[in-house]
Amino acid sequence: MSDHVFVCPPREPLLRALKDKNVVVDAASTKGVADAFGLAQRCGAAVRCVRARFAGLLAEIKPEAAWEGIPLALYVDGVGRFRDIAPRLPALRRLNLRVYVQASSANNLTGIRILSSLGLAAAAIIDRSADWGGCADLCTYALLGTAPHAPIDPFARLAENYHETGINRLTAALFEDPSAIFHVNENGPVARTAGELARSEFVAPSIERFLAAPPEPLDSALGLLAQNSSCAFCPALSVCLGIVADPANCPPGAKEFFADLLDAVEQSKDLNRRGRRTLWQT
Amino acid sequence: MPNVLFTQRCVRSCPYCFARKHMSDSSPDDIISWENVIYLADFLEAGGERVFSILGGEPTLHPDFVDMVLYLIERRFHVRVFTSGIMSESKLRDASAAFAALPQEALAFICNVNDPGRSEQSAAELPRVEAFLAEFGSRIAPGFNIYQTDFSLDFICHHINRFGLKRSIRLGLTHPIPGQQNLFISLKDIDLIIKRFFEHAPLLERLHIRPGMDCGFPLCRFTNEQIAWFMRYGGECRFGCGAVIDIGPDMSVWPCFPLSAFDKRSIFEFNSLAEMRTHYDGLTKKIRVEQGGIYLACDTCGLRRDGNCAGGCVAHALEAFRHEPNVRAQEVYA
Repeated sequence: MSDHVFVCPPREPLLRALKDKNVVVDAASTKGVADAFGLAQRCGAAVRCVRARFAGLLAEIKPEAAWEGIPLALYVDGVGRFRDIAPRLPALRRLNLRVYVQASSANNLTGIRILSSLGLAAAAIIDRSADWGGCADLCTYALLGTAPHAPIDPFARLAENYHETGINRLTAALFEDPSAIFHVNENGPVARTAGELARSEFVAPSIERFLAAPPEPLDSALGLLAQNSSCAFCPALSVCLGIVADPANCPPGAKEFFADLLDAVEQSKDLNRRGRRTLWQT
Repeated sequence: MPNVLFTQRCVRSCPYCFARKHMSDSSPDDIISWENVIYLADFLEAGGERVFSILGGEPTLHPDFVDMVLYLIERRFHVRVFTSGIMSESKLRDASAAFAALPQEALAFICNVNDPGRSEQSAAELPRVEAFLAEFGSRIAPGFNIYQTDFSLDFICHHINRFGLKRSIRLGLTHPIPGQQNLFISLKDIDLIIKRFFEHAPLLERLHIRPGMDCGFPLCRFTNEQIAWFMRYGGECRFGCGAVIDIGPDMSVWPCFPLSAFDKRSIFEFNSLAEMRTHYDGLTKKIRVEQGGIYLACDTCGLRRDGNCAGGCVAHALEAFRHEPNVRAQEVYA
């Protein structure tokens, strides 16, 4: 089995072509979660998770019993008032769930922290619109908070897989990694990113052609270095890789966020090395 | 257990207010953030604390008061809210709907009531207080701060019977706030207070209402018969005085409101609740070394030596230090 991961719509021919391959099934909405998962399993795909979008707040969602056991990446517009979420918590806790929320507002970042503190895995969708200061606070909580809490991606995943001298793509936890995660159009062509998929910029015209001749791993960091752009001198390059920021127009606060993130990752690894995170401590 | 201030704005202006010094030094618009509530929940949980005490100002003024209380209960804290009970109708409806299904032990209110017969302000706020008492009756333990020698507990007994409140009264003794003007019970009046309280004893006995004493009462002023009465009919009696620890919305910490100007720090200076307690207990001990208690006799008192009495509220000593030459350990002037 290749290490590639394919984000693919729940269409039978595509999923059959991805038999034994790592697949994120991209269900259009929460209505299709169970069906999408069942279809991918019948087609023999190695389902990493089902990705679904809910146009509304987490507090408005009605978790279905059929979702239990399905690894679910649930994208929502926000978390909502705690009083509205509280009655849903028992049902949400029964799910194999990670909640994805845009990191663009303080409310959303607070919502992510609340969910994590209650044991629900969450993820901040970090893009150019992110609240960078809030993200820095959240990553400190995610990586250095001493009380038990559920992982917050992309920080948790970054810390877990961090290599001091290698490439650590922050957005890999958000299904964006041009060297490893590929996005399949519903007609079959394959793109490196969701953005390139939307712009019909494909690396292969079909899954079969992709599998027959996989594209070279793309290391955009090398491109940025070659361009001698301002990113080439940024200490966060190995994490950002020009996806979150871009050399011409780095958003204010982004550099500081990445500096804090790298510090938190280093501290977290150091603490883990010293055995802080043992379950039983005296 | 520490108290966490959700707001620094109050709807009352009680003449004895023990939070006055802190409030006058702080921004009334400061309210606690979700991030800080989560940090404190983690901090207290790690310290083995299972009660989360919410204070103000008036904590129900916080726009997320209801949601934050529900969150803390979800974190398995027993939440205790100190309130005046004065809130808007919409807030009361809101809280009532949100808290209705909660187990009794999850949420309790300590409603600090003022005698409506003693001031126009207290009379004016009575309808709102009564609405609150009617809504949350069995969750509420009334509290009363004694700041006059001729106080009456009759109106509280009436509240308890009428609204089905918990059959207890938390009695607080008002103390001086060093450097501030507030009404408090002077040392010479403490005997009068105790005498006045025991005039209510037969009524409390008949109504099965258990009074409890908050910190700062000096044990030596009670007779053995009075202590025996408390053992038989009373609730919790504390003749202690130590660092309660109050935590502001901005995460500043101090030992208790009367000592809010003394060694105010940031919670982030402490790694644990135990470390914070040790620090502030050390401060209290330094003051006690300078002056054992509120009376000169406290220095050699057996009750204090044996740990049965702390020697009254340390704020009296601090207030006294302000009126003498600067000859003591410098920490006590902090």
